[in-house]
Amino acid sequence: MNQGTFIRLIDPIQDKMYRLALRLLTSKESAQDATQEVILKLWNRNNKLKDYANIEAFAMTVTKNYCLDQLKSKQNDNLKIVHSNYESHDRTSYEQLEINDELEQIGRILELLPDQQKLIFQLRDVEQYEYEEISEITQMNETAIRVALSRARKKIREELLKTHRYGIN
Amino acid sequence: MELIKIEALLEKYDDGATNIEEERILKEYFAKEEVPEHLWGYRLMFGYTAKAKKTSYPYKMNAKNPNGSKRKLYSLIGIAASLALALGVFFYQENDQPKLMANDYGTIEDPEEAYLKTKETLQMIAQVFNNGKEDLGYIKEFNKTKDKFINE
Repeated sequence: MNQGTFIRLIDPIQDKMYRLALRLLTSKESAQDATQEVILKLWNRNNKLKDYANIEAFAMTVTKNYCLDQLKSKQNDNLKIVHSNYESHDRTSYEQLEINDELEQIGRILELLPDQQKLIFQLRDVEQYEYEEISEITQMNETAIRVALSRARKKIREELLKTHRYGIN
Repeated sequence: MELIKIEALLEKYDDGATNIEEERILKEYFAKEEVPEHLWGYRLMFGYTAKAKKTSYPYKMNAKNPNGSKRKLYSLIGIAASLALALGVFFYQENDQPKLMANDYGTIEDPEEAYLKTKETLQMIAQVFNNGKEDLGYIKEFNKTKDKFINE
Protein backbone atom coordinates (compact mmCIF):
# COMPACT_ATOMS: atom_id res chain seq x y z
CA MET A 1 0.00 0.00 0.00
CA ASN A 2 1.51 3.33 -0.94
CA GLN A 3 1.13 6.63 0.85
CA GLY A 4 -1.69 7.84 -1.40
CA THR A 5 -3.81 4.75 -0.86
CA PHE A 6 -3.20 4.89 2.86
CA ILE A 7 -4.24 8.52 3.07
CA ARG A 8 -7.40 7.85 1.10
CA LEU A 9 -8.26 5.00 3.47
CA ILE A 10 -7.53 6.95 6.60
CA ASP A 11 -9.00 10.26 5.46
CA PRO A 12 -12.66 9.70 6.41
CA ILE A 13 -11.66 8.08 9.73
CA GLN A 14 -9.25 10.67 11.14
CA ASP A 15 -11.93 12.90 12.62
CA LYS A 16 -13.69 9.98 14.29
CA MET A 17 -10.41 8.79 15.76
CA TYR A 18 -9.65 12.25 17.07
CA ARG A 19 -13.12 12.68 18.58
CA LEU A 20 -12.85 9.32 20.31
CA ALA A 21 -9.42 10.26 21.67
CA LEU A 22 -10.80 13.59 22.81
CA ARG A 23 -13.71 11.92 24.59
CA LEU A 24 -11.44 9.53 26.44
CA LEU A 25 -8.42 11.72 27.12
CA THR A 26 -10.32 15.02 27.51
CA SER A 27 -7.34 17.22 26.72
CA LYS A 28 -7.08 18.44 23.15
CA GLU A 29 -3.33 18.16 23.11
CA SER A 30 -3.22 14.56 24.27
CA ALA A 31 -6.00 13.73 21.83
CA GLN A 32 -3.99 15.22 18.98
CA ASP A 33 -0.88 13.35 20.05
CA ALA A 34 -2.85 10.14 20.37
CA THR A 35 -4.38 10.52 16.93
CA GLN A 36 -1.00 11.13 15.39
CA GLU A 37 0.52 8.15 17.19
CA VAL A 38 -2.29 5.89 16.06
CA ILE A 39 -2.05 7.02 12.44
CA LEU A 40 1.66 6.28 12.62
CA LYS A 41 0.95 2.85 14.10
CA LEU A 42 -1.48 2.13 11.28
CA TRP A 43 1.03 3.28 8.70
CA ASN A 44 3.65 0.96 10.19
CA ARG A 45 1.23 -1.93 9.80
CA ASN A 46 0.71 -0.84 6.24
CA ASN A 47 1.15 -4.25 4.63
CA LYS A 48 -1.13 -6.11 6.99
CA LEU A 49 -3.75 -3.37 6.90
CA LYS A 50 -5.55 -4.62 3.84
CA ASP A 51 -6.14 -7.99 5.49
CA TYR A 52 -8.59 -6.39 7.87
CA ALA A 53 -12.13 -6.61 6.60
CA ASN A 54 -13.20 -3.42 8.31
CA ILE A 55 -10.32 -1.00 8.45
CA GLU A 56 -12.39 1.69 10.12
CA ALA A 57 -13.31 -0.60 13.01
CA PHE A 58 -9.68 -1.64 13.29
CA ALA A 59 -8.50 1.98 13.36
CA MET A 60 -11.07 2.80 16.04
CA THR A 61 -10.00 -0.23 18.07
CA VAL A 62 -6.36 0.84 17.93
CA THR A 63 -7.36 4.37 18.96
CA LYS A 64 -9.44 3.08 21.86
CA ASN A 65 -6.67 0.78 23.09
CA TYR A 66 -4.07 3.49 22.78
CA CYS A 67 -6.16 5.98 24.76
CA LEU A 68 -7.02 3.50 27.49
CA ASP A 69 -3.33 2.65 27.79
CA GLN A 70 -2.54 6.33 28.07
CA LEU A 71 -5.09 6.69 30.83
CA LYS A 72 -3.59 3.74 32.67
CA SER A 73 -0.03 4.98 32.45
CA LYS A 74 1.00 7.38 35.15
CA GLN A 75 2.22 10.07 32.82
CA ASN A 76 -1.35 10.97 32.16
CA ASP A 77 -2.35 11.38 35.77
CA ASN A 78 -2.21 15.14 35.64
CA LEU A 79 -3.94 15.59 32.32
CA LYS A 80 -7.42 15.81 33.69
CA ILE A 81 -6.54 18.98 35.50
CA VAL A 82 -5.00 20.95 32.67
CA HIS A 83 -7.56 20.76 29.89
CA SER A 84 -9.47 23.84 28.91
CA ASN A 85 -11.40 22.79 25.89
CA TYR A 86 -14.52 24.77 26.24
CA GLU A 87 -14.89 26.86 23.16
CA SER A 88 -15.30 30.58 23.36
CA HIS A 89 -18.58 31.94 22.14
CA ASP A 90 -18.43 34.03 19.03
CA ARG A 91 -22.16 34.36 18.64
CA THR A 92 -23.28 36.95 21.10
CA SER A 93 -26.99 36.25 21.12
CA TYR A 94 -27.95 35.71 24.69
CA GLU A 95 -30.01 32.66 24.01
CA GLN A 96 -27.25 31.13 21.92
CA LEU A 97 -24.83 31.71 24.75
CA GLU A 98 -27.12 30.01 27.18
CA ILE A 99 -27.56 27.01 24.90
CA ASN A 100 -23.80 26.72 24.42
CA ASP A 101 -23.28 26.78 28.17
CA GLU A 102 -25.77 24.00 28.56
CA LEU A 103 -24.11 21.95 25.85
CA GLU A 104 -20.77 22.39 27.58
CA GLN A 105 -22.40 21.19 30.71
CA ILE A 106 -23.15 17.89 29.01
CA GLY A 107 -19.49 17.70 28.09
CA ARG A 108 -18.61 18.07 31.74
CA ILE A 109 -21.14 15.46 32.79
CA LEU A 110 -19.71 13.06 30.22
CA GLU A 111 -16.29 13.48 31.79
CA LEU A 112 -17.67 12.02 35.00
CA LEU A 113 -18.81 8.79 33.35
CA PRO A 114 -16.68 5.63 33.51
CA ASP A 115 -14.37 5.23 30.50
CA GLN A 116 -16.40 2.37 29.11
CA GLN A 117 -19.60 4.43 29.09
CA LYS A 118 -17.82 7.41 27.56
CA LEU A 119 -16.49 5.14 24.86
CA ILE A 120 -19.84 3.62 24.03
CA PHE A 121 -21.75 6.89 24.19
CA GLN A 122 -19.21 8.39 21.83
CA LEU A 123 -19.40 5.52 19.36
CA ARG A 124 -23.18 5.31 19.37
CA ASP A 125 -24.66 8.71 20.07
CA VAL A 126 -22.00 10.83 18.45
CA GLU A 127 -20.64 8.64 15.67
CA GLN A 128 -23.81 6.56 15.19
CA TYR A 129 -22.13 3.20 14.74
CA GLU A 130 -24.27 0.09 14.52
CA TYR A 131 -24.13 -2.26 17.50
CA GLU A 132 -22.18 -4.84 15.50
CA GLU A 133 -19.47 -2.32 14.77
CA ILE A 134 -19.33 -1.14 18.37
CA SER A 135 -19.04 -4.76 19.41
CA GLU A 136 -16.12 -5.22 17.01
CA ILE A 137 -14.37 -2.11 18.33
CA THR A 138 -14.93 -2.70 22.02
CA GLN A 139 -14.90 -6.51 22.06
CA MET A 140 -18.06 -6.39 24.18
CA ASN A 141 -21.26 -8.25 23.46
CA GLU A 142 -24.32 -6.37 22.29
CA THR A 143 -26.28 -6.75 25.51
CA ALA A 144 -23.43 -5.33 27.58
CA ILE A 145 -23.14 -2.43 25.15
CA ARG A 146 -26.86 -1.64 25.38
CA VAL A 147 -26.72 -1.75 29.16
CA ALA A 148 -23.73 0.60 29.32
CA LEU A 149 -25.36 2.94 26.81
CA SER A 150 -28.64 3.00 28.70
CA ARG A 151 -26.78 3.83 31.90
CA ALA A 152 -24.85 6.61 30.24
CA ARG A 153 -27.96 8.19 28.69
CA LYS A 154 -29.93 8.05 31.93
CA LYS A 155 -27.00 9.34 33.97
CA ILE A 156 -26.54 12.37 31.74
CA ARG A 157 -30.17 13.44 32.11
CA GLU A 158 -30.17 12.72 35.80
CA GLU A 159 -27.15 15.03 36.24
CA LEU A 160 -28.78 17.67 34.06
CA LEU A 161 -31.86 17.59 36.25
CA LYS A 162 -29.78 17.98 39.39
CA THR A 163 -28.34 21.27 38.19
CA HIS A 164 -31.45 22.59 36.45
CA ARG A 165 -34.18 21.55 38.81
CA TYR A 166 -36.14 24.70 38.14
CA GLY A 167 -36.33 24.31 34.43
CA ILE A 168 -35.04 26.23 31.48
CA ASN A 169 -36.50 28.63 28.95
CA MET B 1 -44.25 13.70 14.46
CA GLU B 2 -46.70 13.26 17.27
CA LEU B 3 -45.46 13.83 20.77
CA ILE B 4 -46.71 10.44 21.95
CA LYS B 5 -44.60 8.66 19.38
CA ILE B 6 -41.57 10.73 20.28
CA GLU B 7 -42.04 9.98 23.94
CA ALA B 8 -42.33 6.28 23.19
CA LEU B 9 -39.12 6.45 21.19
CA LEU B 10 -37.39 8.33 24.00
CA GLU B 11 -38.31 5.60 26.43
CA LYS B 12 -36.77 3.04 24.09
CA TYR B 13 -33.79 5.32 23.69
CA ASP B 14 -33.20 5.43 27.43
CA ASP B 15 -33.21 1.64 27.53
CA GLY B 16 -30.64 1.43 24.75
CA ALA B 17 -33.24 -0.24 22.55
CA THR B 18 -33.56 2.18 19.63
CA ASN B 19 -31.97 1.44 16.28
CA ILE B 20 -30.00 3.94 14.21
CA GLU B 21 -33.05 4.92 12.16
CA GLU B 22 -35.12 5.69 15.27
CA GLU B 23 -32.28 7.69 16.74
CA ARG B 24 -32.07 9.65 13.51
CA ILE B 25 -35.78 10.50 13.82
CA LEU B 26 -35.20 11.74 17.37
CA LYS B 27 -32.18 13.79 16.31
CA GLU B 28 -34.21 15.47 13.59
CA TYR B 29 -37.12 16.11 15.90
CA PHE B 30 -34.97 17.85 18.46
CA ALA B 31 -33.06 19.80 15.85
CA LYS B 32 -36.10 21.39 14.22
CA GLU B 33 -39.24 21.63 16.22
CA GLU B 34 -40.15 23.62 19.24
CA VAL B 35 -39.67 21.12 22.00
CA PRO B 36 -42.02 20.80 24.98
CA GLU B 37 -40.39 21.92 28.19
CA HIS B 38 -40.30 18.56 29.89
CA LEU B 39 -38.08 17.26 27.09
CA TRP B 40 -35.39 19.93 27.35
CA GLY B 41 -32.85 17.46 28.73
CA TYR B 42 -33.17 15.33 25.61
CA ARG B 43 -32.93 18.40 23.43
CA LEU B 44 -29.62 19.27 25.03
CA MET B 45 -28.31 15.74 24.62
CA PHE B 46 -29.18 15.54 20.96
CA GLY B 47 -27.88 19.05 20.44
CA TYR B 48 -24.65 18.12 22.14
CA THR B 49 -24.04 14.97 20.13
CA ALA B 50 -24.78 16.77 16.86
CA LYS B 51 -22.30 19.49 17.79
CA ALA B 52 -19.69 17.01 19.01
CA LYS B 53 -19.76 15.25 15.65
CA LYS B 54 -18.55 18.42 13.96
CA THR B 55 -15.23 18.47 15.80
CA SER B 56 -12.46 17.71 13.39
CA TYR B 57 -8.85 16.68 13.72
CA PRO B 58 -6.75 19.80 13.20
CA TYR B 59 -3.70 18.13 11.68
CA LYS B 60 -5.50 16.17 9.05
CA MET B 61 -3.57 14.29 6.45
CA ASN B 62 -5.13 14.45 3.03
CA ALA B 63 -4.17 13.83 -0.56
CA LYS B 64 -3.21 17.46 -1.21
CA ASN B 65 -1.07 17.69 1.87
CA PRO B 66 0.27 14.22 2.62
CA ASN B 67 2.64 15.47 5.33
CA GLY B 68 -0.11 17.56 6.78
CA SER B 69 0.82 17.20 10.37
CA LYS B 70 2.42 20.36 11.70
CA ARG B 71 5.42 18.65 13.19
CA LYS B 72 6.38 16.93 9.98
CA LEU B 73 6.04 20.23 8.18
CA TYR B 74 8.29 21.94 10.70
CA SER B 75 10.96 19.27 10.42
CA LEU B 76 10.79 19.52 6.62
CA ILE B 77 11.25 23.27 6.81
CA GLY B 78 14.21 22.70 9.14
CA ILE B 79 15.84 20.26 6.76
CA ALA B 80 15.24 22.59 3.82
CA ALA B 81 16.73 25.53 5.70
CA SER B 82 19.89 23.68 6.73
CA LEU B 83 20.32 22.33 3.19
CA ALA B 84 19.98 25.83 1.79
CA LEU B 85 22.55 27.12 4.28
CA ALA B 86 25.04 24.33 3.51
CA LEU B 87 24.66 24.77 -0.25
CA GLY B 88 24.89 28.52 0.13
CA VAL B 89 28.21 28.32 1.96
CA PHE B 90 29.54 25.80 -0.54
CA PHE B 91 28.63 27.74 -3.66
CA TYR B 92 29.65 31.05 -2.15
CA GLN B 93 33.21 29.79 -1.85
CA GLU B 94 33.16 28.08 -5.21
CA ASN B 95 31.96 31.06 -7.18
CA ASP B 96 33.26 34.12 -5.45
CA GLN B 97 36.92 33.22 -5.11
CA PRO B 98 37.85 33.48 -8.84
CA LYS B 99 35.77 36.64 -9.23
CA LEU B 100 37.74 38.44 -6.54
CA MET B 101 41.02 37.41 -8.14
CA ALA B 102 39.96 38.66 -11.56
CA ASN B 103 39.19 42.05 -10.03
CA ASP B 104 42.73 42.27 -8.70
CA TYR B 105 44.28 42.32 -12.16
CA GLY B 106 44.78 45.85 -13.50
CA THR B 107 42.34 47.10 -16.00
CA ILE B 108 44.37 49.97 -17.47
CA GLU B 109 44.99 49.34 -21.18
CA ASP B 110 47.22 52.32 -22.13
CA PRO B 111 50.93 51.64 -21.23
CA GLU B 112 51.68 55.32 -20.60
CA GLU B 113 48.82 55.68 -18.16
CA ALA B 114 49.79 52.40 -16.54
CA TYR B 115 53.33 53.68 -16.03
CA LEU B 116 52.10 56.92 -14.42
CA LYS B 117 49.67 55.09 -12.18
CA THR B 118 52.38 52.68 -11.05
CA LYS B 119 54.79 55.54 -10.35
CA GLU B 120 52.11 57.39 -8.38
CA THR B 121 51.37 54.28 -6.39
CA LEU B 122 55.05 53.58 -5.63
CA GLN B 123 55.55 57.17 -4.57
CA MET B 124 52.60 56.95 -2.28
CA ILE B 125 54.04 53.81 -0.72
CA ALA B 126 57.43 55.51 -0.29
CA GLN B 127 55.76 58.44 1.41
CA VAL B 128 53.90 56.15 3.77
CA PHE B 129 57.16 54.42 4.55
CA ASN B 130 58.79 57.76 5.34
CA ASN B 131 55.93 58.72 7.61
CA GLY B 132 56.47 55.45 9.41
CA LYS B 133 60.21 56.11 9.67
CA GLU B 134 59.63 59.47 11.37
CA ASP B 135 57.76 57.68 14.11
CA LEU B 136 60.85 55.54 14.73
CA GLY B 137 62.49 58.66 16.26
CA TYR B 138 61.12 57.61 19.61
CA ILE B 139 63.34 54.56 19.55
CA LYS B 140 66.38 56.84 19.91
CA GLU B 141 64.99 58.06 23.23
CA PHE B 142 64.57 54.51 24.29
CA ASN B 143 68.17 53.75 23.34
CA LYS B 144 69.49 56.73 25.33
CA THR B 145 67.87 55.44 28.48
CA LYS B 146 69.06 51.92 27.78
CA ASP B 147 72.65 53.14 27.26
CA LYS B 148 72.60 54.91 30.62
CA PHE B 149 71.97 51.67 32.43
CA ILE B 150 74.08 49.37 30.30
CA ASN B 151 77.19 51.60 30.40
CA GLU B 152 77.11 52.17 34.13
